[in-house]
Amino acid sequence: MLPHEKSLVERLKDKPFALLGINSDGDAETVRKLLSEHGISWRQAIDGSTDGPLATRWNVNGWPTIYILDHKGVIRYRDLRDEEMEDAVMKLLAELEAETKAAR
Amino acid sequence: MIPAVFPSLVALSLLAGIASAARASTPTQPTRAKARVDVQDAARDAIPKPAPKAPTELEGEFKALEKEFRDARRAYQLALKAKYEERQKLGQQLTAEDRAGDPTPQYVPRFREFATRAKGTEWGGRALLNAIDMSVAKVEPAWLDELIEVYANDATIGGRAAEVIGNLSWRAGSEVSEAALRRLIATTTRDTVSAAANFNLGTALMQGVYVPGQGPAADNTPERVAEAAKLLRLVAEKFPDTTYAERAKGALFELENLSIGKVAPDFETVDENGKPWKLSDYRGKVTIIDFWGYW
Repeated sequence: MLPHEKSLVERLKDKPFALLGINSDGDAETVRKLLSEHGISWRQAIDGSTDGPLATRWNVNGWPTIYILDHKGVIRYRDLRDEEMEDAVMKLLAELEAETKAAR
Repeated sequence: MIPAVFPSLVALSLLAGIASAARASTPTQPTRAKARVDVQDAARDAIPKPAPKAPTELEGEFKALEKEFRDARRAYQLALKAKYEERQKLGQQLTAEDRAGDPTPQYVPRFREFATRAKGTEWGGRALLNAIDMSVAKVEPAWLDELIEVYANDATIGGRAAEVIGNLSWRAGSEVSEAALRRLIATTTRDTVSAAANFNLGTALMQGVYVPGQGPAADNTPERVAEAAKLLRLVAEKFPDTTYAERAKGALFELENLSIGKVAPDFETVDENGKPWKLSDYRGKVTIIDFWGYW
């Protein structure tokens, strides 16, 4: 997971793309330490634990749980990993690009 | 959902696995166990006959076996975690060889054997649950029959049975798992077991049909989704005092708001530097939301 996520974030840094981590490991300090240890640059939500408010509200029972949203905020894919995750993101970026072009 | 991600979950949630194993072995309901001992003692006093092995002895034997298993499993998991971190540094995945040596299969026949000797007791029920839960390659249908026939009205074992059977989907397939949950619902007369079984059937139906070794079907049928919603609502309304009512509400929220094609509900949170942010800040961008933990 991590290597793919890192390369995706690096490769798409100039694109309309965001990777958001909802972390269940502990408090902000714990997470900051983890991020620097593992070279994770993307934004995090500090959810505190597996019973954190976001994990609870989104009914997350397994980790990682992954949602992939298009630029309109619509949930398009769930629980894709690695190459499949990358493919999905590229597809949605192409969709966004096509839509932007059509609007011009 | 756990089943969808299980094969690699082993790597990321090693310590979570240990934590849940620890939770699973928390002593339960001492008052009930005590009551059962009293009844058996009374029965023995009334009709003199060779005493069966006392529940306390069975308890001791079960706990010793479970501890032995947990220690072996923990050692395996810690070694695997070390290997996983090593591989990560090299940008590699765990290999089959790295994963070899899981002690779990060795313990299945031992829990199974104990469950036969302690049949009908809480400890026999827990051993049978373990044997089923730990049978990764193949789940014996007769074991499920025994679980339902003997323990459907045992509040502790029956409730856990619903969870264990619900988790069978990805190994034994939806058909086996869902049919067994339906039998449990039809058999039990206990509210807590009924709530657990209806909840687990509901969450199973939320997902696509699993065929063993293939993962869930990409598309779920509207009929399954509709039945899932019906069962989850039933749990929330009919058994409001159980923990399953809250879980059913969570699952209903997921079903109604987090399915593919829905606009993701907005949320507000705080980042690692204490700065607040909202999901809607990222509208206009393709976004991955990754619920993760390193544990």
